[in-house]
Amino acid sequence: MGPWIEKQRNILDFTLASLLRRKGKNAALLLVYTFIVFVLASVMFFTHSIKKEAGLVLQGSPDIIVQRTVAGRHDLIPASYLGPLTKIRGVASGRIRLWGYYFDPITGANYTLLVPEDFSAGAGAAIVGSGISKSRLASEGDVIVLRAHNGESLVLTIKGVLSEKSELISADLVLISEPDFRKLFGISKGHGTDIVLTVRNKKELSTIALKITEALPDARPIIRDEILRTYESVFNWRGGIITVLLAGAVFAFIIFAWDKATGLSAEERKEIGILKAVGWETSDVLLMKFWEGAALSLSAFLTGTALAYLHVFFASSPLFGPALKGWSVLYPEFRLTPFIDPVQIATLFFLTVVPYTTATIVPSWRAATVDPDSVMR
Amino acid sequence: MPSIMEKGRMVKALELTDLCLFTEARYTRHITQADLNTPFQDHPMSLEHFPSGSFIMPPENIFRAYVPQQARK
Amino acid sequence: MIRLRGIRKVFNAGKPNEFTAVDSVSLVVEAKKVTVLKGPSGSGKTTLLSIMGCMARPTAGRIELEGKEITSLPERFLTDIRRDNFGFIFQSLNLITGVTALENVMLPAYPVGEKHSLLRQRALDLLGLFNLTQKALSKVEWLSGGEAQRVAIARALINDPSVIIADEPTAHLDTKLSIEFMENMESLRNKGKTIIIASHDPIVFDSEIVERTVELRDGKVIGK
Repeated sequence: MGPWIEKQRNILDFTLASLLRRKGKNAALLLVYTFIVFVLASVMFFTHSIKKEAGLVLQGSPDIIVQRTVAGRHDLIPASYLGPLTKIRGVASGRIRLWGYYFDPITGANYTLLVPEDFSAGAGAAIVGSGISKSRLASEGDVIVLRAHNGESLVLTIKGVLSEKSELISADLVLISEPDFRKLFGISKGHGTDIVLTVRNKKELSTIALKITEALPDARPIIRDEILRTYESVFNWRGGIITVLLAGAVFAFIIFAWDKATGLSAEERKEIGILKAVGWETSDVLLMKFWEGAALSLSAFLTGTALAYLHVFFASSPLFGPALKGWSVLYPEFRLTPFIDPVQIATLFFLTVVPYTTATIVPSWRAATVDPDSVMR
Repeated sequence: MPSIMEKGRMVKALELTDLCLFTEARYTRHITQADLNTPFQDHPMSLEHFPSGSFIMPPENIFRAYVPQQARK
Repeated sequence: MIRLRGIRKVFNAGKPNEFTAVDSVSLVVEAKKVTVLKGPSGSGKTTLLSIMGCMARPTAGRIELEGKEITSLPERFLTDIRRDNFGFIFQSLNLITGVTALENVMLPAYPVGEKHSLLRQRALDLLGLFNLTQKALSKVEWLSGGEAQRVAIARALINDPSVIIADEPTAHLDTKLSIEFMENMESLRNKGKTIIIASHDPIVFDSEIVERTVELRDGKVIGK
């Protein structure tokens, strides 16, 4: 094994010296290649972690949520629906839920207002998400004024701010009491936003959903399985922007490979002739070409992936900000927990390193088989 | 993963259903709760309102209709 | 000791530009002596050199190296034999530009898989023999004609071959450097190496260190 490793080391040494000879061109190539890997890996890390996190975190979502639709739109649900729903076999309990949206003209942001099952802070109090706290520069003890449905003002004192770490689910939440909610939106006790049901046997969710549509024809059930599946397909690669990114990367690689595949320059051919003349075999020349491709693509791959990791898991993906933010004002800081899919990384490796290395070796085949005495003629 | 556990607890306590990813519109903020018509309210060829439209597909349950037993017979 | 029997080399066989470079050459090159192949350009000197040095195969005929027949060995074995036994100095030097003198000297030994640090030391020692230690880490394009010449000789010696083959070594050198070259060959011969030089330069073939001259014309030997 010793001589084999030494041979690799020797040839690698020469290959690196050769690459340094065309410093500018190879540096540019390395930079672009690394950038592409960086973007692709960042997208991979980001989307995979969000999906994974959603899958874990949303396990605690309600078993079944029942919405009422009127004229095709989600409308308030009558409290009288609770009775028939809880009577369905398999349903353990049910509760009317109150939540809605509030547009704040001061910040131009949409808030999600929610009445939790237990709101100990009482009327006149609010607990806000940290995104709201940051955008309104309001913290515990401060007062926020909301405009009720009838034009009156609803004054709320902030009794707490939800943690920054939970921004991914709570950045825009405002938790208030039931009386305040009904006062704000003018919703009477006879109605609610939707109904949550707890089911005894979690495997029965879709069966019970069917029974709900039978019992209440204008009710639309949403089961937890659907919630989880929706987030499995978020950021799907078939989505618009991701397709554009992939297409861009593919084109960039085609250009690289084209540059390599159009063959060697006369200078490179002459060098190979010299190497053959001084005692290198065809296989040695091809080995050199392999290292030429591998050294560059491996470095680009490792650097790009490492930078992507730092970008997504340490810096909270600042470069995706403009794309993801869109028109929203409240934008959570994506402090994602590192989840990596090894299959994705392996795929990225095979789609980048292998083609590039191959594109470096294959065109050199003919030149590498030149007769050793060619430099003498 | 303490932060994941913290979020999990919050989801259960507050009965949350979605990640706070895109707050521009109702159907982007609560993807899973979006009603049938909203994502398709515009002509299929019309341009997307928000960039988030190119990241998220309509929720799965939209394509599933719970057809009651009587109606099937 | 190299023995050639009826060596014939034809280029582009069967095509309209068919050309016989070497025709029925039989000779014996004695070991540890300086032999010169003399003749005008086109006489087949270069082709004969490349066949002797296992760089090319003859179309017909047989070659023996130290009594062993090597004519029809596969490429890999031939390359090994060439690497171990022959060191080449080319007409246009054929050093790789953009790379240091030291690296150029080490190149022929890379495929062998010798430990890098040992190889490097050996190469430095060789360059030292030719007073090139200072220039070891300079890129070859910065070297003077004479220095580059000596680097080429050092490169030919890296695998410690028994035979040195030089093809028109003085073609691009002035008189002083040509004489210097022949002096280097003399000292190598004195160390026990076999030297074969192809040249039509009188400084080479009239040199007193030459022990044997083979004259070629139109691919045939006309005088030994």
